[in-house]
Amino acid sequence: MIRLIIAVPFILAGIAVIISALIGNFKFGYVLNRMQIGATADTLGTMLIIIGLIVIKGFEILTVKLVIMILFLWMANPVASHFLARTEIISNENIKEECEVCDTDGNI
Amino acid sequence: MAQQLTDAFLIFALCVLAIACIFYLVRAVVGPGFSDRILAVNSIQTIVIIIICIIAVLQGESYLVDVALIYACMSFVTVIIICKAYLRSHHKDRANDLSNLKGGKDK
Amino acid sequence: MYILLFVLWVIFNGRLTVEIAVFGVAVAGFAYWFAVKFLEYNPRWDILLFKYFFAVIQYLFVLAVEVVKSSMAVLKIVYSHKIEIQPTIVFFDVPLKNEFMRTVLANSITLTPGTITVNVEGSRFCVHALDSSFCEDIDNSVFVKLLKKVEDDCYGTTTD
Repeated sequence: MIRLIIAVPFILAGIAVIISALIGNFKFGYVLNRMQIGATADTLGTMLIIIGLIVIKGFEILTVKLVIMILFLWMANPVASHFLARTEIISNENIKEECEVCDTDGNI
Repeated sequence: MAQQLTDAFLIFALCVLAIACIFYLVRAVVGPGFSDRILAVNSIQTIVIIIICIIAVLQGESYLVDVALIYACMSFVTVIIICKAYLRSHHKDRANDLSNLKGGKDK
Repeated sequence: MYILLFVLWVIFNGRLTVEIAVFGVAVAGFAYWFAVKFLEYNPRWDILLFKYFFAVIQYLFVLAVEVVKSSMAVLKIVYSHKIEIQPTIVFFDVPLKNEFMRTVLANSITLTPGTITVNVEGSRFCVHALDSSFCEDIDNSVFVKLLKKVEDDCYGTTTD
């Protein structure tokens, strides 16, 4: 019972993050901005829900697999979103209307 | 008692995630461009991975997490291959440069 | 690395018997040989992994904290109607020389919500940020400091 009480806030927070990502996905108008929100859902939402599941289940072989799952998602998701952003920037002709391009030195 | 409460809570979580999945599907159909659709599909895949993990905990079967791991591998490879194929077929002339970002600011 | 592969095999099997252990030794040995022979894995990195084990743990912890912090910033943007966002693409140089360190840095930047690495050419990074406040001190972030420290330490001992 005490485990359930500890785990419920984690899972509810994870679901809230995913629903927020959904709202942001419909609110923003451009792909790259949506992608940032999607990355939030991918990292924070997944982490919170899987931590909640680990707390529910206690220490056994399933939870070790869940930890491996988190590590794999954290390694694989950035690569996928990197490729997607790259595809969008290469294929969009009017990228400069959507976002500002600058340099840390001040020149382009 | 605690077991039943846990099961009920996890099933509630599954329902909410499934509804979120449906909305992402709407996004994938509506989405104006190519990247929007791939992004929505990627998000659906992430949610499906979480759903499989929750079902694994619900049933207490550890092999379902292996299924989720393989699904994660497949979603990763899917996004990369579709992006590469799209770039190769539609933008063959400049498949590897970022010339949109440089120069010609008064577009 | 060999021990990691063996532990991974045992975890995926779900239980530990003599038969599984014997097969695990063979399979992990084969995977290790394959990595060294064809994937350009250097056995010297094992020693480095043991040496910097606590640095890796510390890095993962810092990464989790950063993810939570910037997620809060992104969620604030989602729920506020007044803030005008200004998406920005930033080019900047990083002081890291090792390819592996650069890869880790690019992955960390992409993993942090609000910023996505678009391209890496040499030491020149190209990063898309959701708002211009996310990229104010991006070329001097905490990841760069940690990785730079480990890299300097590394160069003192090995030639890699």
